[in-house]
Amino acid sequence: MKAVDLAAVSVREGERQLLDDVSFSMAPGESLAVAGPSGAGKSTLLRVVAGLRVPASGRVHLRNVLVNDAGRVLVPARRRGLAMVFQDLALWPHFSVRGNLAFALEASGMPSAERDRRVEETLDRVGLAGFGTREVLSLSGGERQRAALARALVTKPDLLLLDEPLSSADALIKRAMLTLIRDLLSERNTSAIIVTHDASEARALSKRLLCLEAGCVVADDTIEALTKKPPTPFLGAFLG
Amino acid sequence: MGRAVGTRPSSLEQRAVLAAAAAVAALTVVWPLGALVHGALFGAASADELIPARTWTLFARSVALALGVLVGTLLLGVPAGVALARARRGALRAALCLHLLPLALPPSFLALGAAQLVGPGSAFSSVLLSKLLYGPAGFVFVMSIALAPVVSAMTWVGLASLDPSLEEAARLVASRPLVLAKVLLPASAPFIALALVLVFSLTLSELAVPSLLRVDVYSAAVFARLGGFRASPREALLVSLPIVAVSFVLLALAHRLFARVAGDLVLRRESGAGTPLGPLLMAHAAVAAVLGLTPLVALVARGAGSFSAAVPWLGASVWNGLRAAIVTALAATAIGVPLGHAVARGLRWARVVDACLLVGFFAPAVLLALGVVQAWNGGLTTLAYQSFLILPIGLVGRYGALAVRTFAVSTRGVAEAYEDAAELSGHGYLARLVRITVPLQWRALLAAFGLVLTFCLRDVETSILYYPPGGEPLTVRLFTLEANGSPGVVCALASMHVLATALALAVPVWLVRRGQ
Repeated sequence: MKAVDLAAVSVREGERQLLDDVSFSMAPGESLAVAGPSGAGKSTLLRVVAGLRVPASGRVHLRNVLVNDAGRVLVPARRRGLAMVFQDLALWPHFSVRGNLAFALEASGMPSAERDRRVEETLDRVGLAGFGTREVLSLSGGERQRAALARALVTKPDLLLLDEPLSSADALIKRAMLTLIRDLLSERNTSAIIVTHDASEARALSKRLLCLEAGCVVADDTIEALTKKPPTPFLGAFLG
Repeated sequence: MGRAVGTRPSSLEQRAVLAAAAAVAALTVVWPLGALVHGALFGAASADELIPARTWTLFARSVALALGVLVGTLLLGVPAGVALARARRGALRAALCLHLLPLALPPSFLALGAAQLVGPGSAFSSVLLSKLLYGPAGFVFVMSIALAPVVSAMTWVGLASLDPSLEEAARLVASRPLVLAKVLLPASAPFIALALVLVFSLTLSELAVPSLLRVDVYSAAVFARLGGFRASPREALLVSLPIVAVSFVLLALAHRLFARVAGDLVLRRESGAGTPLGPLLMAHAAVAAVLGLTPLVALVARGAGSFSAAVPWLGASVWNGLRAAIVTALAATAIGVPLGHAVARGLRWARVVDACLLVGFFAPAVLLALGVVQAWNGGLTTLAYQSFLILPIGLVGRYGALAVRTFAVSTRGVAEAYEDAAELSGHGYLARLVRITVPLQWRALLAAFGLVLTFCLRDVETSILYYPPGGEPLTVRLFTLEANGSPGVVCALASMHVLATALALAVPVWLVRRGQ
């Protein structure tokens, strides 16, 4: 079984080709780092997988289920069983920390006692025990990163999408968060796609790197192999 | 980060909600205007339906007067807007906010108030002043003080949207006045330009002020010709053709400016607030505030002695107007939320519906009103036409665009990721709209409601043509009384309207302030 399988996916916006014939697949539990220059189509790729963007052509399978086929949405975003950590975190400011996690679980139809237990358990796991009643806007940067990760993981998704989640974090928070994300992914055997501009993030979370340039896949290999022989100048600079 | 924007997949739920909103737009704008066009094309023709030469003269005169009003509102409104954006102290800002009050009232009240000051038998009565007031100069003056708040408010919002670092960078190399003139105001230009488009459109549609000040203008002539019992759709269209052409130009301009403004609008509360105003700016803003308020004070003072005499004239008109305005504001907000959201998120056919509503706002008021009569008066809809519902139906068509645009502008300032996160958590369109989009933008919701309410409460030119028997709002009753009613009673009734408007608007304003 493949956790994610994209076949010849293309996305256009007006005259611009955001993704051009993109294909790749991932095994369950595998992590994939996605890199590329600004405007290469990294976030678009995540949104296609999430179901937030309809590709003009190509097929998308998640866990062997066809979810997009030639411009048609067969499974909408809310039924794809995945979660996402956004670059700006997108924590709902009018909910408390607990409210953010509870709202994420609400649509699952889980009994409220079970939901509360899951929320507390997840907050505890990311180091936010006792923060449940805090307003989102009163949290520090690092606490917000953890809350966003907790909200994504509380639904126990099969696939986690991370869109430059640590781009605004300082070095200390970044190190702690990378360890936390790596541990959580491995203990739940969750697949993950991580869009990043930071080679150390890519190395910490994944063995494999997919590189996009101008909407096309220009490299898809292990980070080790790409470091030894970078196929494009961008990758050479990116991987040092 | 290369954030992907553009069309997201829409759900069945969303399509159903938007279809309902589109149906409202179709019934209140497309059908009335369509019925008018149909009547014009297939109705009986007569020789006197051609555009008379005088119409063109009046039209040119109206455009010239509207240009005069543009200059007046710019001179009064921009400094007041700058002062509003700069004033941090509560009392100063509250005083300046009073300058915005005339916007919530029919402009004819200011004309009425000015007449109490300088008209025959008044405190400062003089032949010269009276001649000036009852003529083109008076029209430009009254409309300028009535509509200057549009420019002030938009200047205020434009300046509040600027990145503070823009000013800080300029302050290192230039003096304050230079920074204002060369950096801040040019950067706010799209907001000010949008305000001027609105001012121009509202001036061209104004009916009561020229009637009261006995100034021959196009809108009054068209109303006089078409407001009778046997209005012909063909005549209405023919006579309105010049103004329809201008309306389309204004519509196109507004459409472009709305897009620019929405892109820039991120209110920064501390942006420039508290910067010293400077004596000249403060004096200018004070003059603008005093000019707007003095006629209203004169109006209330003149009416104070006639309140008891005015009560029998009220009838149910206050309630008629208030009820119609509240129902319209609720309905417009109800369609404004999903449509504004969809417009901001790039749904193409929501933009088409939005464009239809904008046509309703920029089309000549008399044309839309005649369309409402043509479409709704007869057949299955006669019952609705004869009930009070016809007022909200016509007013939604006229002012619904304001709610849609307010919510669209606000939605563009809210990251789409909030909704994406909710969608990925399994929440459908309605749950996202009600639990995420609306709570994050509750101020915009109240603003949309308040804006539509304000415009409905000051409306005369639309509802005067189709209000149901015995169901006229106070503004319409005042319009008919202004010609031959006792000045004391008219002023007292106008004062009561000011009071009712203030009370109606106090609720959303109080809620917003409480939320802050």
